[in-house]
Amino acid sequence: MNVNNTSTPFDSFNARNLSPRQVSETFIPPVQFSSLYKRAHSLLIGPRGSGKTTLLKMLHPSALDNWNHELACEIRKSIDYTGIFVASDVTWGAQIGALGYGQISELSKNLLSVSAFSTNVFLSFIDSIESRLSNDTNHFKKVKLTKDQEGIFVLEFSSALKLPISIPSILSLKVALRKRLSDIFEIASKATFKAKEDRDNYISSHDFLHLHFLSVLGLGIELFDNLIDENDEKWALLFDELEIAPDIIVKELLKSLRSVNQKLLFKLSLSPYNKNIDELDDVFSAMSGQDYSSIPLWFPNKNESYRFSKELCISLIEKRIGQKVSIENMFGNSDFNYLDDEYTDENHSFSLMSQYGMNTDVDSYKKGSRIHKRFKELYLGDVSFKEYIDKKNIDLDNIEELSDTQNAQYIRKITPIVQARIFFRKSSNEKATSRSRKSRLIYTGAKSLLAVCEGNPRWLIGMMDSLLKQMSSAGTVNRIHQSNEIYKTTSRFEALLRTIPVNLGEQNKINGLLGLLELLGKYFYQDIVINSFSPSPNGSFTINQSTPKNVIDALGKALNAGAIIHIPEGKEIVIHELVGKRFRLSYMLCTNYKLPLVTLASKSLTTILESTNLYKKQSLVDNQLRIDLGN
Amino acid sequence: MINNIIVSDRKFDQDKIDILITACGYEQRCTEIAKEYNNIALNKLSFQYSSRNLLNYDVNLKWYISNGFTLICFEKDNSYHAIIENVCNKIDSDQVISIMVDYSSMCRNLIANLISILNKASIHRNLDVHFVYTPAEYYEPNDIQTEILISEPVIPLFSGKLMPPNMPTVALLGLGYEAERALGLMEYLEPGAIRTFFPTGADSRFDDKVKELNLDFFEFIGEKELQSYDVNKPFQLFKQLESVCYGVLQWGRPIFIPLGPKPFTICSLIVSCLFDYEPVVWRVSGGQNSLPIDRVRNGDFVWLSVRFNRQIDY
Repeated sequence: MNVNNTSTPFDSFNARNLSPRQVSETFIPPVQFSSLYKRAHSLLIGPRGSGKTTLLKMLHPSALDNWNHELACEIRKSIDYTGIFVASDVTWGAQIGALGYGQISELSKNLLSVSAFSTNVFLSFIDSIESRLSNDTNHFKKVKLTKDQEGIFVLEFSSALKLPISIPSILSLKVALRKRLSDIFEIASKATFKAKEDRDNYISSHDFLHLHFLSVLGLGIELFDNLIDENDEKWALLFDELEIAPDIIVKELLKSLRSVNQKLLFKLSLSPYNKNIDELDDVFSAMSGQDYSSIPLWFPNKNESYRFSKELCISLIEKRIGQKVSIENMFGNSDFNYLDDEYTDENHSFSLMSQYGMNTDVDSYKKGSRIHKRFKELYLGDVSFKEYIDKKNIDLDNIEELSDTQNAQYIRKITPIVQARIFFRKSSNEKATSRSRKSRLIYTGAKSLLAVCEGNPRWLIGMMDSLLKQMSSAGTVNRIHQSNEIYKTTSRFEALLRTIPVNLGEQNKINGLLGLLELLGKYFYQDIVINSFSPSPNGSFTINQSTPKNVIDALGKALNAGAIIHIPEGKEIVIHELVGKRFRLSYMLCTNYKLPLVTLASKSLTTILESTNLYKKQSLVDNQLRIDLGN
Repeated sequence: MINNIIVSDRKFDQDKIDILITACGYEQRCTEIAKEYNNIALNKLSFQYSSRNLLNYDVNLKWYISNGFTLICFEKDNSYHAIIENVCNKIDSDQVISIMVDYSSMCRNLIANLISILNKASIHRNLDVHFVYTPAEYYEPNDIQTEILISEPVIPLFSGKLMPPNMPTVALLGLGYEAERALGLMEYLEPGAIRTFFPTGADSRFDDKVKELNLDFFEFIGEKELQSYDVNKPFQLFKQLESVCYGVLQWGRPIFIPLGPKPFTICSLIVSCLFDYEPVVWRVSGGQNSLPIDRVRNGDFVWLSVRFNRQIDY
């Protein structure tokens, strides 16, 4: 993952605005990178900030060439293809969507948007060629073209592109392709001045709009490889944010994952939820592992994210202070117990916990231990908890006498709930969503910090970047700083969620996407912290059949933003149907709603929604688009 | 085709207005300009919104009706395109058509639509357009942060020319009263660079409030590349934006994000026109859940004069 110390925050944590070369300067390979760089088609799936762009950019020849890491040499040797990184972003998507200003037919709009997309692919191809021709450090896939060869390439390729070129140079080709993007915009714009019935003819009369990007690209690749005498070489198309591309392209590329192309590999990045891509079912019904590899970049279970986060964190610290240190020494221990009982069997989870340095020692519960004191405190202050303990005949002063199974079932499982009740019931006069920085103290300590970040490198890098600046001379970061940083990161994340446009229906009083998530958070807080003690309170939700479409759409956006986490039953990675699926709030948001960092029992979503007065049941009917008055 | 737009801070000094265009909303200030120039306007249009008969709306509506304004429901009725074009067509093509637009109570996409119509109308004739704004007395912002329903180019015409997406996007952000919206938008759009414009010059309480409401933004982004602008001097703002935009176009994809006072919106749209729609003008908008605020006139009108000269085909 990318670790950059520049002072502009949006640049620091986001590979989107860095060149492949800049990305490589601080790249630390996560475990998924070894699957991605294999000579095979890949589908990279993850929410915002999960590192998709970074990973794809690292396969660009200039990134690999410049990369300086202990594994770099070995990985460079095993990559025998040239990556073509095809960028995309929200603005570009909106621009393509607006071609023709809504005044041309779908057919014409498709023609124009596919052409814009294709032109971007051709520009990216030229960019990769330039990298291979440049004189960089590690000579990764470097080649030379004579002036004559360059001329032949440019003339032939521009002819295939139907692109007039004044000087047969790569620079001139690049300039002409950039001009073509302007031409596409102009054709769309001019069409709107023509009579409605003439617009389609006018647009389709431009020959270059009918080029098929894969066949033209194939031609260019063949030509280049021929000139450098590397006819058996492969090229990898690295498509970032594929969902932003025109539908027709998305469908073609997803089908390509099942193809055997002599020259091309496809490595595509997608968000976890894609409701419009029916082809995904076909793709996933393909024999995974043979046709393509699917690479998830998120972790429903924190045991899985812990290893990656810890490695990244240690690397960040090492980069900053020049030596490896224990993150526990730097950030201290965490209050929460970290067992995801549900998703790993007892033995496996214990072995994982030990492996990752988590505390599995039964002594932690011995009389006088911190956890024992918490249990006792709650026992004395919370009648419902006392009833639970008494009913189970548990002697809190002799927990170590319980069998392993009893301990797991009655004690370890409820420890995070006990911690949350102790900590938050003391301040129960505060609202569930009070924005006090102090309320985040319970989430401090190494393991909690890593859990809160969910293995999301953007969050982790952002937080560590700031925390390491506040490190004391003894090499520690105090809990107030940690708590502040969690608060700030959550605030930024909330600001984003507040900005994602959703329409939850006029009759509802739910205030946007964040309002919906807040409603869930408050419900779980009530059940976990305020209501009578239950060893299995509700802390996750299942989207049921009767959930309104607009709520489902909003939650799809929440999933792609990393605000909710899918808890898969099987091995699903990408989903285009949310109904029947189970989710939890991201741990980052849990810190806002005073929830323990653990996966808890599930409740049907409509039951949760209907329990509040913000939600009106009649919103089952799809809502009409509301008229915007936005001053 | 090249645009031939000349912008100045010239105040209106003519004895007639060919078309006076206003909005009939619920704010007290929305009739201020109309009242002053009603008598010399030959054609009068006022835009209504479909469902906000709140605060002073009924009183304003009554005034507009009794003063002979043609009322057009902006969301439902597209006829204003034709009305403006018809008025223009009636006037001798050698004459300069004088238009006054009171945009104080207009929503951003109406302003963008009007500018696009006026720019289109200038293909065949010269237009002298006075954009006028009524500054408001200090008011407290809504406590409730409203949901976002729309986040996209203000209208498709202002979606910006296509440039390769590997060029960095550069946000030209006008700060406003919407708590944390600037920060959220920066997270959403992920620009490669940000130029922030801070509104001043009205009541200093506005300045303090804008600072307070954007604390998280400043904490995260710092005050680098922060420029202030005077809300009462849109021509100066126009020059600031034109200059910054010109620089940015050499290496990035500029996106205007006009939060806050409307003069920033007008200037963003005109700069985009001036650069042949190359920069994007973005809009985020909440729904009807946002609480209406009455805005009352405070001080002199604020002028921006834009001459759309007849466009020449080369």
